[in-house]
Amino acid sequence: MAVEGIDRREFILKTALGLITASLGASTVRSASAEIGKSSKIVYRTLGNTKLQIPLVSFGVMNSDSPDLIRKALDMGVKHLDTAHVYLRGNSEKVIGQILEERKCRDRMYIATKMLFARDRAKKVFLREGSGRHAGATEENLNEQLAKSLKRLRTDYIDILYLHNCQGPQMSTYEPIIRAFVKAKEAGKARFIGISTHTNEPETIRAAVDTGIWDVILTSYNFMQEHKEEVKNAIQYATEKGLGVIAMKTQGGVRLNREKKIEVNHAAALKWVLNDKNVCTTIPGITTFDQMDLDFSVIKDLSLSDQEKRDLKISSMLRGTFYCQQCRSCVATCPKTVEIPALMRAYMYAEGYGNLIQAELTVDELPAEYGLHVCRDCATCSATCPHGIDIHHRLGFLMAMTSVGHGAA
Amino acid sequence: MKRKNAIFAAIILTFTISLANAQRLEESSQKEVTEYKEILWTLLPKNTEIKGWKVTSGPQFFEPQNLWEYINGEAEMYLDYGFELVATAEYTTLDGFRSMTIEIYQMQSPKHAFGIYAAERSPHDSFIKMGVQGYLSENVLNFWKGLYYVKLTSFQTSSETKEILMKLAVVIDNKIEGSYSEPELFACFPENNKVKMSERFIPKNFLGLSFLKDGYRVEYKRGGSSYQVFLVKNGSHDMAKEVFRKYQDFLKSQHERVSRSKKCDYQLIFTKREKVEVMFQYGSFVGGVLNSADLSKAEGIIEEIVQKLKRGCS
Repeated sequence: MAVEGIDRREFILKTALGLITASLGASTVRSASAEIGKSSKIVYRTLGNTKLQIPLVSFGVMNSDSPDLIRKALDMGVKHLDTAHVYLRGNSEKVIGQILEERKCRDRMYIATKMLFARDRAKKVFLREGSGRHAGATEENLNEQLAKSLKRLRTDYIDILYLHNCQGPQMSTYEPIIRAFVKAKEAGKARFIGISTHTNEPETIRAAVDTGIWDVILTSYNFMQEHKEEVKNAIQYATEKGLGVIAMKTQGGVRLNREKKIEVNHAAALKWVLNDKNVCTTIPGITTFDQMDLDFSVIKDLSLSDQEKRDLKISSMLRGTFYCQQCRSCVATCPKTVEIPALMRAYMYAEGYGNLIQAELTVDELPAEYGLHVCRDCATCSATCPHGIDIHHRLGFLMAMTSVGHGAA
Repeated sequence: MKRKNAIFAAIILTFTISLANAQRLEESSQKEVTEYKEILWTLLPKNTEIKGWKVTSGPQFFEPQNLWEYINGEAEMYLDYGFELVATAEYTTLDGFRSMTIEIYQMQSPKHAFGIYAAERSPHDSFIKMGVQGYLSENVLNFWKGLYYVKLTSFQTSSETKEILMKLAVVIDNKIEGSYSEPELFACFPENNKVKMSERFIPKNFLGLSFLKDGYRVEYKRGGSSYQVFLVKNGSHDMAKEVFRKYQDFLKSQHERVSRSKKCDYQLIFTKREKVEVMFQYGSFVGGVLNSADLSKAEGIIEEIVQKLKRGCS
């Protein structure tokens, strides 16, 4: 919520940033200017068995705020534009359609769009009836959405038609909608079909591959993911079976960098993804000309410098299991409802910054019934963290390092 | 040694006091969130307010840190437009045959609410007088008023759907207090050749430039060609001059040939390739005409805007 001044998390973050960068001698400032001195030769990769040749960097068009960005992207050699039926109630697709018609370049471009359907978010299955904000997952609704998208895009075919946001294996293998997608392909309305996912990616991808139907996988893939090795392996599995893989959310995205408070070295993050040769291209959401220059500079040299590696390490540390997200999911898993988020902050002060005084202060200020003292009553710790933090280990550390562990009340 | 200890103690004390202040601010922030949730809850229609309908689930609330769980990829856009909180609830008829979802987005300010509303509207929508403005299709009614962008979606289309959407929207509209209108800076834009309902307020990366914030843009059409007019209000005259300078640097970086012209009380630059782009800086304002086919007409538009700015957009 907008509050004047600096909130605690921002204070801790900025302090941590200062301490860590000082100790590692690294810069965490996002690189804003790119060297485009030499002529940039565009590097292409092949999108699996589709045989589409696509430059390493494509364009994720989510908003329609700056059509000139799309025009510039085309001038720079971008061949693939990605959008979705639901983005801005179709205005994203309309802007793309308008520019492609203006430039008369439809036949030289690869357009992807996505169809989103109602789902049970808890069970991660599609629903046949409309629910929430979306229509039910039926052939009729697919055809209706597809017809609208084709009209907005001013084309009679989509190059890659995605089933949008598959959150688990049951969604990427949902037969009624798969049949509808196959029919759309057979009717010539889609050249290739695929799924997009940014939840439970490894299982969702593998299940999609095993259907033997999908041609392309669009997946969240970045250096910040805790399960990036599993995602990498699933991507490899897909490409070995002939599917093309496109990466998105290469900067961590809103999900992992929720308040965009962690500076990410944009170029380094892209390089990290593109160093995986199983990834054909990426679709960063470009919102400034500077960003576009930066993304394209990556194409010239994918090797990560020592500086870039350090920058990624710092960002990952600040987001990753080192840093508690304060989501409070753990509290419900503790039978004593101990104020674990505050204790994780105390751990950060102690272990992250070496500030035992502040760690002790943080522990002491908690009400007795929710504080670290209560942990002494439990033989084992049942609290769990959805982001992988080892709560038991950290509480044990605090017990050992603070006066609570030494028997003080 | 004593001096060193004293300095160390002072540093620790400063850190502790700053952290305590930060903690107080965060607690205050949490209290605010709770209050805002209560407000949004009161705006949602209750069973007693909609005859024949009932609430079947919700309200659910999503904040910036978990908005992606609700609208996934679109979350980034909403955050850029100043999203703060959303309440969503589902309704069905008493017989269970029809259902609807209502979402009420609280944005950073009324102009941010207008901004996200305008980003999703289209000039071809059927506009209605709801809130400050709204539109109604077969199964969707969206409107904005004050801090709020309200979206009603039905999944069944029948002869009664539009009527139901209107009834529910009126319930919410009546609860949002205050009198609001379109951002006043739009009054400085020319009326001639304006494409209706094309006004946009874009808070970040306006025109794809990170140094341009809170931009206003309108589409125009004359003959067969389109052009755009934009305005950005900066914090001060000096800030506007700096932004104007950066804009010139950007044009040069794009290999545009920039020509300058000094008017009585504003400065002007223009580029000319296939189309003309003319930009000006007047006081704390930077603005321009993009993609015009005619330089003198573009200059005329700018003269008109500057005169209106002098009169306070009247």
